Amino acid sequence: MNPEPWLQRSATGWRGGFEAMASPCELLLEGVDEATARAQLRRAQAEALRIEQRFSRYRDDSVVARLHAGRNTWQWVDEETALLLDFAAQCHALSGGLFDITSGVLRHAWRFDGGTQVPSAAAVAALRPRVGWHRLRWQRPRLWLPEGMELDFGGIGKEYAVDRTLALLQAAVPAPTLVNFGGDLACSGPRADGSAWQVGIEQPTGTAGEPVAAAVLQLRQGALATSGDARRFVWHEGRRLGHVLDPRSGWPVEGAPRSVTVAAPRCVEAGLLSTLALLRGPGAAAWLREAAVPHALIGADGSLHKHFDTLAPTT
Amino acid sequence: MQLKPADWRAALAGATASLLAPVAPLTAHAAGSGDGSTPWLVDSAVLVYSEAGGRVRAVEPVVSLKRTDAAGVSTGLKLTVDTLTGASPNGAVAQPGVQTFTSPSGKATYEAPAGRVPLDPSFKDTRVALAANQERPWGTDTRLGYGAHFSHEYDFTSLGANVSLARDFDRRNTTLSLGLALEADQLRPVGGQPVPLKPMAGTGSGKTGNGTRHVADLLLGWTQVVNRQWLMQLNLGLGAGSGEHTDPYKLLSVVDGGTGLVTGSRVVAEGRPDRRTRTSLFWGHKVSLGPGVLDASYRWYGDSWGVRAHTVDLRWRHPLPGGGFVQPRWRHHVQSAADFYRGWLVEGVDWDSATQTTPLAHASADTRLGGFTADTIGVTVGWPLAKEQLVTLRLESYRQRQDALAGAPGVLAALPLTPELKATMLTVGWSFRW
Repeated sequence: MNPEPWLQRSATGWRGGFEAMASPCELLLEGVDEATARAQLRRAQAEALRIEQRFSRYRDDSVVARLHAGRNTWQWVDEETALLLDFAAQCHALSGGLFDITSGVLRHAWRFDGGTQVPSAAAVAALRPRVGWHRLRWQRPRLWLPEGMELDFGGIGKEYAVDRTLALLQAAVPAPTLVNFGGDLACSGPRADGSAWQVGIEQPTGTAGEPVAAAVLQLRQGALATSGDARRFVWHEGRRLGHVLDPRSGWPVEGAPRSVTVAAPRCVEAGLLSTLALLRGPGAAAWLREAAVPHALIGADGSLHKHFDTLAPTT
Repeated sequence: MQLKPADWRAALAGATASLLAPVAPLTAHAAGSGDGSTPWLVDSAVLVYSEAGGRVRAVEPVVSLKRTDAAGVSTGLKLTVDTLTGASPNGAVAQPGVQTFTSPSGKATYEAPAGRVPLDPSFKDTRVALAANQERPWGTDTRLGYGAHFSHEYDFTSLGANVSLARDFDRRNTTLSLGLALEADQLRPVGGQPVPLKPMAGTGSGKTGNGTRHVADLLLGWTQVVNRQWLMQLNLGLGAGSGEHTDPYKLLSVVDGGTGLVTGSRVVAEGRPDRRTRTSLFWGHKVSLGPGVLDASYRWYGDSWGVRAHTVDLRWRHPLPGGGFVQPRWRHHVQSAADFYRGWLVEGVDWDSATQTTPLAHASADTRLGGFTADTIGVTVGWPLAKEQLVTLRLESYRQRQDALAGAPGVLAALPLTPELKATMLTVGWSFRW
């Protein structure tokens, strides 16, 4: 049995949550009674835990673990995994190789613990043959994962869980709902009174502790996702290197913003846009503006830039 | 390749839509309707069935609704209404002269022209049938199904319930299923249930009241994804029925063994065993070949009455530009006669008019229990009318050739005893989301 989620009355409805995918997960609901709120919360919890169980790289009973165990053979995958692999393939192509779900291997060399430990160039170079979407063979529904390679759905899993959970909740009870899994969130539309949801962006302080809201954003529809290195970085030759690694070089992207929050119709889209923006390093803000993506960005120097022209994300 | 930002974002939105496609209908609809329910898939159709030679005509409207909610629970409802009119063979043999029969109610008579297979013209019935079923996930790999059906016409009521379990193995490439169905029928024939193998003599002549029948069916299924192009299904069905199986409206003629003319008691009510066990084996394939899909199946059937049947059914679904399809079909069915099937009773051999007794335990002249070969050829055309709407038109022709009856005495040898049955079926269907 899943642990019972918490639920409390808020000024306008209900607020509840649970722990999943190594993040606090939260639900805001309006216009429903307590029993319905509780039922929705359990639905959300079940879906979040289901996705965690299937796609977490930390669990030895996950689909990912099974695929890793079957390296160097053709493996047939289920429909959901196939959809995620298709999505990963398209994102890899669209991003010119910047987005790559095989880049998790690089974590074996890098430890972003706020220290000054940086791996040797040789150690990084040794890992590079194990990174690259082009090295594996994906012929839906079968996958060939070469020896030494790993899959990591961490870059899209949480956002995917948000979108799916919101869809399932809306299908069950179409009440005003906001799903927030560790800062990646999506809402069903405006709140019951027609107003926007208030969403705080955390100020990356570089220290653990109580988060400070750097900005409060208004969200009337769609989703928000944040990528950043609030607490995960290393110091190297006086520079702060964030945890976002460029799969093409194996090194952290230099000069990247500390955090990028992006609005999009779906959380998966927002998540991908924010990750890719971060991978553009100092060019992140320009790239987001050119792509006409509403965003809020905390620069390498800690300054806040808001580019939410309208409060609703564009499509 | 450098995409413009707008194209790039459109491509990403497309990829996202594909990823979330399994839950997309849920959100799209929830946003639109506000009542939180997923849409029903409605299948409506009208079937017009017409037998050649002014025999049975049927009009059958069917409406079925199906939907799957967010929790994976699928619910189906089906309503069928059919109206049958026309004439049906009563089981008696043709004669050189006009024959007169008493209608089942005993209150009227009808005549069969000389040299023609006698048809009972009082065949008129309206049937209403309602079926409901639900299937829900039970754990991660198992689905539980259950349902009930009810069918009613003025002389027959049927009530049934079923339960099934299906379990997926090997990443859903293999599905094993087990189903059990129980049915209880009540027969209320016009004029009462005739006493089997006794003279059919209108009202009050020893007819009993209503009959009952119970049927149980067990289904074992195996569905296997052989490869991306080929899906195979193997079903074993075991069934047993007990109670009234005799058709209250079917007769047997008593004829003279030399002349072939009707004699003595003239007509006797048919009589069938009160138990019937059935075995069927179905082997089906869906194979994706080039642009289309081949649906091929073979079915073997055998029962404790001695009927053995082989059925081959072939369909080829060919896609048309614009989302439509055309699907030709050929079905071939061969069956052997039941052990107790006979065209007539011979006076003094099969029947004694003096004592009104027979040495036979069971006898029926119902052509459905005889040996025959049947072919169905047809074509279905479907085309999308609008978003998520499909119109289908099906035209099928059925032809049944009865096996010749051996040893026809006297005049029977020259009379049509096993006429061909030809029927045309036209179905117009419309399916949409509601």
